[in-house]
This record gives sequence, structure tokens and C-alpha cells, in this order.
Amino acid sequence: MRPHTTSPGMRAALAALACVVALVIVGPWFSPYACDEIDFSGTWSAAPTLVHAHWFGTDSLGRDLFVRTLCGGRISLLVGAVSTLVSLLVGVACGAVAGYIGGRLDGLLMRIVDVLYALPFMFFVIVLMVLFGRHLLLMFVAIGAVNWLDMARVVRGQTLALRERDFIAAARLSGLSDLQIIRRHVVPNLFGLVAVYAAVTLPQVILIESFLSFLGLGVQAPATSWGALINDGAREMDVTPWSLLFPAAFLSVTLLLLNLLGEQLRARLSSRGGPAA
Amino acid sequence: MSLLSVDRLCIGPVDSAAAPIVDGLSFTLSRGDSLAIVGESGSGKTQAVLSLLGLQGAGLRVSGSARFDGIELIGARDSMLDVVRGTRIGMVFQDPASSLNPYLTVGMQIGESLEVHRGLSRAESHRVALRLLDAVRVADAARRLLQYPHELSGGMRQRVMLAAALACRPELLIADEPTTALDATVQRQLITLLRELQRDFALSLLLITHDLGVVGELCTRTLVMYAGRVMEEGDSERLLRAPTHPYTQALLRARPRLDTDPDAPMFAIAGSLTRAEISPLACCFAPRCEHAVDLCYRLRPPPESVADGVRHCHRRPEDIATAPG
Repeated sequence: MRPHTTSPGMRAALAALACVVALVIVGPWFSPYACDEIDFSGTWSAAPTLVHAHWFGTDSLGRDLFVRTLCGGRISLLVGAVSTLVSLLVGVACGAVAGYIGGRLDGLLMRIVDVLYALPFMFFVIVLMVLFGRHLLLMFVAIGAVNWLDMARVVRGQTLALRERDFIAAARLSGLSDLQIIRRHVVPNLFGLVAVYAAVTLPQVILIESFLSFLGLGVQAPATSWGALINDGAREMDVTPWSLLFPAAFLSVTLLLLNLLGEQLRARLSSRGGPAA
Repeated sequence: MSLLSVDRLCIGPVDSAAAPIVDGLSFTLSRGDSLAIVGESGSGKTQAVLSLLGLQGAGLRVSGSARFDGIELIGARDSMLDVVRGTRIGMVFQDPASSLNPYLTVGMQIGESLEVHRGLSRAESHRVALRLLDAVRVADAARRLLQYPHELSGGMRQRVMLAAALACRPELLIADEPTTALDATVQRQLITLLRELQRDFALSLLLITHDLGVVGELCTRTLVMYAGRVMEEGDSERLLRAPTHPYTQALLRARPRLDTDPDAPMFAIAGSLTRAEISPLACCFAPRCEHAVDLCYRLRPPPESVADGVRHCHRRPEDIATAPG
């Protein structure tokens, strides 16, 4: 039986997360300032104030921090969502094919995964940045390229268990080809597992992006992300602590909520006795 | 004319000389006819039919021949088999709970082979699935079509499996212990249904079972297997009434009956099926046979044609007719 009820913890996490996402999307419209606009009337590095509508204060260049935090959130969440989607698609496709077909193809695909695993991530990202320049798209590729590996392994393991089940044999007996079986029978049965894994991957990816941006390898100014804002803020935290505090708080809370959600999903999945029960 | 003819089918491990799982299985099934393969657990019944459809377990080698309407199935490529599987041969498994995909609706699973083989759209396949559910006597078919397997009872699921197997109007239906996982009343309904379907769909039926009661009702012919070898094959009615093989006799005696003393211990065949003890040069049932003579341990009995079939036994039917004890 599949319980369709959600626990209060899950509902709360979902609601709070929806608030963060909504704020990040619509929040900047309520501020009179644009993301990269310098307010010459106000002061540089102003403390949070209601007078000039600098609710989070301004940074050292006089840009409104409220807008920048939310715009940075847009980038962070976008990178998180797209990279997770990329790793999900590639990981599920690769894992399901490797697990279901097995044999040499399985060996080949999993060795590719092993080789990519062995690649030092930072080195990989730096090489990409140097070769192709800093570009948002590249960030999706870099993060997705690393994150699908875990997904592929998990999915392959699950597929190995699935292919022994009777309904797969029944599908083969009704004359479905391997790809049709993977698409119609294997992938839908991976749904629970993949959902949980995606929920766990999402905060990881956001963290990676912040980390890269913090190191200056992420988004290009004047665009920004939470990681880049934290980097800026950390440099001036003794003078303008709010420039570190607000982006850091947003990042932490979002990561916390996503992790809570992932945990709730995982618990629900295991209480159902595995993804296929 | 024979629809399926299996000739000396052998299945054994690829990389060892261990006893084969199926050893020299031969039978023919005529169009519109029905054959039951009977035997205890581990006698190789399921592996035999799975290998006909190219689904033998990993690490098993299949040799011999199986021709379905002139098409050789053993050793055929998957692309070749996919033409036959699902369209001309349908199969139902023992456990309907695990042979349905928990994530797809009943309608999708019944219509699947129609979409794949006949190129029907989802809507068209649903219309056919609705008719099929009616054919397998599922009440309220329109609602059932949209339900998931976990919302159905065991008997209902097996009917769904039947509907799915019959979707492309196969000529041959293979049913692997279709009633084992069901309780007695549902078993009865399903047997009645199978008989009706066999008539309505002009099916040939290959039934695997260890329930001799089912055999008599459903199948015109019966083949008894032990340890991967054929013991006896013949007309069901004759075979159940007057078995000519000690193993068949013992199986029939071991059936629970209502007209015997309930306090008397039930008859059981002594010993158990131990593959390691089976010599390729002896009768495989000899160690447990109460009629075994010296010859049985030294020579594998050759097939002996009888009026309505074949038997593999050194003893003559009249010698074993009176069971000792």
C-alpha cells in the first residue's frame, strides 16, 4: 500500500521551502533597486535601513543587498535545479542501461564512471573554466558531470535487483525489447529511489556551486550567487557583518530545508520496504 | 498438425558436469490441444518452458530442439523470439503479485503488448483491454482498468495476467502453476475460466502444475516429469485412472482424499529428490521406487511407446499394477 499522507515535518519543510523559492523569484520586484544598480544617493556599505529601502543594507559598491541576495538565490537555485536534472537524466539512463543489459556494456559504462570518479573535481572544474571561460552553462555541465556518477551507481544497483523480478520476465515474454522494458518497466520503478536521491543531490549541488563561487570560479560579476555574496561579505565581515549574514542565512536555511525534505522522503521510502514494494 | 514439438530438450549448467536440470524432454502439442506437465518442485518444469521462450536462467545451456509452428525456438535470437513472444505465445506466471508492475495501471499492462506489437494508441489499447477484462470475467472492468495491482485481489491479478497474455490473441498459452498462489475457491474459478478461454480463444494450452486435480479437468494430455526426465506421457484420463509408471502411481496415492480414514497417516513417497544421487546411467526414480529391481540401477530406461503415449520404465505395467502394501 502506498501511503499518500505526508508527515507534518514534511509539510512544514515543503511550505518553508516554497516560501524561500517564492521570495527569491518575486522578491526583487518589490525593491526599487536592480541587481547591479549602484545607489549613489545612499552610502557605501550602509547598514540595513528602511529609509532608502535598503532592507539588507548595501555592499561596498553601494548595491542593494536585499536584491542581490535574492538574485543570487535565483542563480544558486537554478544551478541546483538544472544540475540535479542533468545528473538525474544522465545517471538514470546510464545506470538503468548498465544494470539491465549487463555484461560488457555494464562493465564499460561502470568503468567510465570509475574513471570520472578518480578525476579530482576541482582540477576538472578549473580546467573547464580555463579552457572555455567562465559561463553559467559550463557550471551546469561541470557539476552535472560529477553528480551523475553517484546516481548511476545507485540506479544500477537497484536495476540489478529489479531485473530479476517476475514482471520484467513477464514483459520479456510479451515480446518487449530491452529498451522498451527499461523505459516502461525499469524506470518507473526507480521513481521513489530517484526522487529521494534527487532531494539529497539538490543541496549538495547548491553547496558545490557556492563553494566554486566562493573560490571565484563560479558566476561572473555582476551576476552573483549566494556563494559569491558570501565571498564578498566575508572580506568585509568586520566592517559590514550584514553583507555576510544575510546571504549566509539564506543559504543555510535553504540547505537545511532541502536536507530535511530529503530525509523525510528517505524515511518514507524505507518505511515502504524499498522503492519497489 | 503439431503446434509445438519439443525434441530431446536438455538444460544444464554451462560450466560443470553436474546433473542437467532438464534431460531429454520430448513432447508434441497439437493445435487446440492441451498438455499438462506434472512433477514435484525442482523437477525442471518451469525451466523447461522458460527456455522455450529464451528466458533460461543465467549460466544455463539449452540444447535440443523446440519448433513452434515450424519456427525453431532454441538458440533463436532475441529479435526473432520477440516476434513470437507475446503475439503467438502468451504466458502466465505462478505468482500474480510479483508479475505485475506495481507502478503501472492494469490497463497499461494489458494494453502494453498491443501498443508494442500492433502499434495501437493508448486509447485504442485501453478499449481492447476493457474487452479483455470482460473476457476474463472481471466485474466493473472500466474502473479496474485504471487501478494499480495493489488495489486488486490475488485472483483478480491472475485474471489481469491472463488478459495481458491473451491481448494479442496468441495461439499457445503457457500457464506456469497459475493457481498455486491462490486459495481454493479462487482456484476453482480460475480453472473454469481457463477452460472457457481455451474454447473461446481457440487456444492450445501448456499447463505446468503439481496439482493433479487441475490436470484432469483442463488437459487432454499429461506428461509426468521427475528430476528433469520424462517418466510417462499419455492421455490424461487414462493416465490418472490407470497409471503405468511407479512414479505416477505414487503421486496419485499421495493425494489427499476425502474417502479415506482421516486418522491414517497419509502416503508419502519415501526419500527426497536429490540431484547429486542421480546417475546418468540409471533410472532417476529408482532410489525412491518401491518396484525398483536391479536393472533399474544399471540402465536408464529407454522410451517405450504405449497406446496413447510413452513411458520410461523397465517394469511392465502389469507387474506394478498391484501396489505392495
